[in-house]
Amino acid sequence: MIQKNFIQLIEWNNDDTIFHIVLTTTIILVLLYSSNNQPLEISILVIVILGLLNQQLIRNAKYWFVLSIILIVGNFSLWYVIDNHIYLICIWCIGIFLSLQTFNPQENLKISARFLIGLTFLFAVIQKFTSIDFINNSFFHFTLLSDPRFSELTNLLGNLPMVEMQQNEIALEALTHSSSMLMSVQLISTRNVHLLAIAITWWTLFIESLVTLAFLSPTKTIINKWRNYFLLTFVLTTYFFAEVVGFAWILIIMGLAQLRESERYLSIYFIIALFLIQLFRLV
Amino acid sequence: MFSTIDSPGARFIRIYLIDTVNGYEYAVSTPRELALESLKLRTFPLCNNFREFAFKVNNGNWLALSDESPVSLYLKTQSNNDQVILDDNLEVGADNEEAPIIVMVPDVSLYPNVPSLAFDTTRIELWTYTFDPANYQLQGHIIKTLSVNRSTSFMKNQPECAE
Repeated sequence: MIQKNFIQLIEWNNDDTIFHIVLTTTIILVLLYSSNNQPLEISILVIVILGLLNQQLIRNAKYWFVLSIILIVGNFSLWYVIDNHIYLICIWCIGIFLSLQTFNPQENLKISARFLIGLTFLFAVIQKFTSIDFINNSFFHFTLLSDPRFSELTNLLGNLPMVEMQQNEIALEALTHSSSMLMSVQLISTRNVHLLAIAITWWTLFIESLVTLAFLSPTKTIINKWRNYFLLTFVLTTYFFAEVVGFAWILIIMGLAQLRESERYLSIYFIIALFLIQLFRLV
Repeated sequence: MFSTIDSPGARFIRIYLIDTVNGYEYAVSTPRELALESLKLRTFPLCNNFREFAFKVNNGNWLALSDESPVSLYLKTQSNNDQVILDDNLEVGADNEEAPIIVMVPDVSLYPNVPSLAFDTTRIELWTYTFDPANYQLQGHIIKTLSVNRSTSFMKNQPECAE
């Protein structure tokens, strides 16, 4: 009831405004997280400023065509090292360009967004289920011990002192340094870290599988109706620890874009999630 | 991403400059100039990328410097740096007894007092590691290795990688 009152309370919450928010947040996403290549960043900055100054421009298919081409050409030279989410951002921009060529851009973008989310998670789940070191928990065990982004979690729930986390980082650096002669190094762990790794591994598989099933199942199924909650749960539980803001944002923006008319009241949660992800970085 | 330990970030390169005549083998750091090639090799450990990397190492100007601090590197560019007096009257001599650090420099003429390192062969090793959750040990493994003689031409000869 409270949720449905949003529709009446918030005037901007209509299909066209949500579409506009999706386009605007996408160009901000492109500006912030689509490249590490300096010449490309300058071109992107120019085109994004133009789009922000002239809001009609971002509803023009040609604008998205130019932006897509700049992203593809600019990232091409480093295609083998760029982050996964940069690929997704490029595909999403192409999706916007294609949808703006149609008679009903909003509806077509909803379909693209739903399938892009579903397929992204499907490939992620396949990769995780076929990776031996993920299934046997050693990937997350190692990540908890060596990745500084997880150090507070490892310290808090894994009961591993920060000093020992730092020793693990030093050990890893000693092994991987190019003039090193070491064959192996000893990391420090606890039983709690081992249990935490098991919990995170199976939670990740569970929530990613749910998102995959929910987004790729037919629209009238019960699981499909729960897809937005699954996606928001995934985003908030994952990116609170893993600071991959670009990936979190593209998922949230696509999540916002695929909301049906009857689900518009959820748009506020997606918008809050966009801000929360930035706040998580400060925590 | 977030599915396996083995990723380009978990692979690392070890470089050895070998002087077969005198029996020396120097383990050196990956030069900053080869950061992109290093990334490419770690992402795609193809033999061709090994060759490209090895030939760039072979053609580099390698010097044995006493240390790699910015002050020391600057002092080595000075033609008459036997005694340099700094602002705080601290004397810095060109000779010190620290173990030499071998670095690749872009222009050897900037270091007139430092002789080039003598070596005739480069060995490049690409490593990765696996984590044993039973004893928390991180074990290094060689993925591929390539040895290239310095006199070998990149275009004419295609040395093979060993796994």
